[in-house]
Amino acid sequence: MSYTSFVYLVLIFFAVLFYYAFPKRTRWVVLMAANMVFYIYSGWDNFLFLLLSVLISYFTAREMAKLFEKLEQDINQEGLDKKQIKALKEENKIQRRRYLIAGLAGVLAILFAVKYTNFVLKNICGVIRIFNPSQETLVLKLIVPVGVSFYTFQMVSYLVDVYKGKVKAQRNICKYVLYASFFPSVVQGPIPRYKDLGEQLYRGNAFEFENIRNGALLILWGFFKKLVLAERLSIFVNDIYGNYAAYEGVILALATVAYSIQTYADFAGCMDIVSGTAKLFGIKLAPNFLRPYFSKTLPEFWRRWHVTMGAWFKDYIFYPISISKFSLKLNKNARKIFGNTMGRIISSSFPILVVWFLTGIWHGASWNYVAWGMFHGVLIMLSQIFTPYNEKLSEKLHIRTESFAFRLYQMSRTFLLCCVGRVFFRANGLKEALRIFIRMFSGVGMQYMGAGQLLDHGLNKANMIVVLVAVFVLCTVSMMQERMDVTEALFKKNIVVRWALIYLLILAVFILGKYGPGYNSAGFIYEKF
Amino acid sequence: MKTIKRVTGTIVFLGIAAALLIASSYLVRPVTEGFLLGRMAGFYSEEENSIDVTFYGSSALYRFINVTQLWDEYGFTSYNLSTPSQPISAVKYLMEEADREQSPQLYVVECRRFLGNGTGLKEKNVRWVTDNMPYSINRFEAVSEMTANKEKKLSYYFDLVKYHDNWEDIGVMSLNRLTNNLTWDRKGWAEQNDVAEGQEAPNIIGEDETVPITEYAEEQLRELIEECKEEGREVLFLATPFKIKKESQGNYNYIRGIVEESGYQFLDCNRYIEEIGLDYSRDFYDTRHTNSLGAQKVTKFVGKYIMDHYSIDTEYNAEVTADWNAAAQKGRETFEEAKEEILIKAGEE
Repeated sequence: MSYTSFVYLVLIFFAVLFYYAFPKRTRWVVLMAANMVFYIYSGWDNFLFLLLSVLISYFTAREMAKLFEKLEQDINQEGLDKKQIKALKEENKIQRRRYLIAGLAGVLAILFAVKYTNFVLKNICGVIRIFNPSQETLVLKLIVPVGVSFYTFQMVSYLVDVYKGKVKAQRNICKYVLYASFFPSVVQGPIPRYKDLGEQLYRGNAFEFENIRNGALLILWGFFKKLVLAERLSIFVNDIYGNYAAYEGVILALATVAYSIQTYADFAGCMDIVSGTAKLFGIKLAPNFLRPYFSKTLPEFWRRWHVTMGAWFKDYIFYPISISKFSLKLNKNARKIFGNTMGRIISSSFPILVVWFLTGIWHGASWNYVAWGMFHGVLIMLSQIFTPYNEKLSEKLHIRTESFAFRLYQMSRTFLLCCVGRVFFRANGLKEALRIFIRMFSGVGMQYMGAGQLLDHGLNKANMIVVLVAVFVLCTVSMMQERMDVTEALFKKNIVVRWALIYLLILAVFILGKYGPGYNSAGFIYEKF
Repeated sequence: MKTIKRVTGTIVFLGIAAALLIASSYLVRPVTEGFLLGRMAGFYSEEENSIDVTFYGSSALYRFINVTQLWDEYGFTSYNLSTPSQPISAVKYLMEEADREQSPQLYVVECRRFLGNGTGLKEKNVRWVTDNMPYSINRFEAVSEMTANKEKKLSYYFDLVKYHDNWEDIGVMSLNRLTNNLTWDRKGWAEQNDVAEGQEAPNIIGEDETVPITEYAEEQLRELIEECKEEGREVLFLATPFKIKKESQGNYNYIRGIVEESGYQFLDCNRYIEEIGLDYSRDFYDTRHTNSLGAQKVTKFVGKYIMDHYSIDTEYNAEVTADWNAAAQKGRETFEEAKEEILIKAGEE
């Protein structure tokens, strides 16, 4: 079920209606029913995979919870000294860890099996082909359940947090299913933490007019970004990238920039729809998209783009690796061999590169995604290494780093670096990405840049103007959002102005949006992950 | 107090939004003649209560009946609410439209579509009807019935979903449609000037040889008759002439039985080829439709039949008279050009 489909709007309309019609303590049941409708509509096979992951994580978390209860009973026995208590805690931790490993192995095995089996087979067959050229690539017909990457990560965070005692395991399996499959966020994020989302789901939120109003407005704004801008740009991008061998130079760069804007609008639009939907029920999801193209550095970019994914990797991959015995040993040995400075650089780079390798592969079972991830990982690593030197240089050269011009330079630089990465992201495979780069720099390609030629890629003059206006509107609103709560500011305006702006947005979506029976939407980009 | 204010505000807001979206829907509906815009959209721009006879059917009507000629020769106004392969279930809804906008004294239903199966409606056939109708409960009901077997229905109910990409074509005609000023001087008639050479007139069988029509078609016909009786409508059921086969003649005889049993009249033009003066080798552009020359003859015949069998009160104000005189003038000029073209193609000039 697409978030921009009529069926989705009907679902949330009735879900909201029933939610507030039911008594508070049973409102979570309405949410669960909406979840089930959403997931089953996407297909029974999707639902069954979700259910399997849910059952594995639920039961292993319950076992860990039982161990916590047992520990509490054990350490409250009379006559125990500190050493005995410590031993009990250690023993309990070891037992909990077994369940944690079982739970993680179970949910990650499902993710791996459905998403990466064919990738592994393809590469194994590729290696075999070196020795036996007649080896064919084995491909299994596998379903990749909708949102599997997202809800698996959600369950991983839940299991680890239960293991560490940060959250109490949910006893009620239905309530746990609700958390694990909360329909606005299960397909494309954000990746919510149980401690943030659980209580909001179960407590039954009171009706507040502002939630309905603001939620609906946010959904509308998301539709604008997705249907008016992202879908429109995809026509242009698909035409050029789909036929990249016929082009060279600037046109390929322009298509890449267009794709960067398309992805931005697509993901931002989706997050607005998702957040707006949750808001209708009085639920506040963690912010997941904070105008990343205003970032001055790549590390900042990744604190603004897919925020919850970044936080997830930081908490569940980066920190555990950084403080692991392996990393500590690596640090010690690297300093011994290469000296303190270089040794520190090598040991701090290791977890960064692991995180970005996994980030790449999480986005797609293909080497171009790995290349994209490593591209960002290496740049972040270099950024960490060279930031102190850059700061000293700027000081020596008396560069006013707080000036608008310098910040603009930094934002432009970050944007361009992202664009380079996008080539890997958009291409069909690593080889194609490299070919695109070669063609991009093999000539200037001004012959493709005339007004007539630019309008030959599926977007005529009128549609190009719509793109430019939409980008302008998006930039203006985003700049305002950097400084203020735009929704609050809007509702402080005079009613005529307020309503006129909202009506303009409604008309823009309905008239200029790319949707309907004659149009095949590509779906949201992050839905594929 | 705050709650009442909020509820009122919300209702007003949503009401204005709905009005804007409906208006937008009208603006982006196709404006090309290829979409038969003039055939139906022009109807809604006619002055209220100025149309006395309305015609319903498919190309078996709009290729045969020139309503400007009817005005010219018999002095009554009429409108051709026919569309390509018009679904037979659409007729009753179009009559409702006519009742709302005008007060026709006579409703003429062309029966060619009752000869077919009637089910399995193609999208375009439905849309030619529904996407020219203004939003109303009648339109909602028409869409519901005609899309009963279709899976994706939203764009039928709310055609902005289908046509919003036409925003680039918004122009004077679109604005005229929105303000109900989209008149069309042909009043729903569409001429064709080709010639299907070498055709011969069909052999006509006796009136008592009947062949039943399909269950669905009969159900629709009886439902239509019943509704017209309830509404007190005067209806003429018409069969325009074509190179008709025996089975279809039998079907028309069957339809005649149902229609006459109800007290309405059925005029089968296939039985009056000589009276109409049709020359099948020159007056048709294919086996099923007349060209302008043939249409002129059929129109004359049908018009006379109407005048002889129905009393149509022909009183019009100066504006309506002037509008129809202008349309008739254009019609005459167009006919002369068409006649010349047809005669050249038929090798008679």
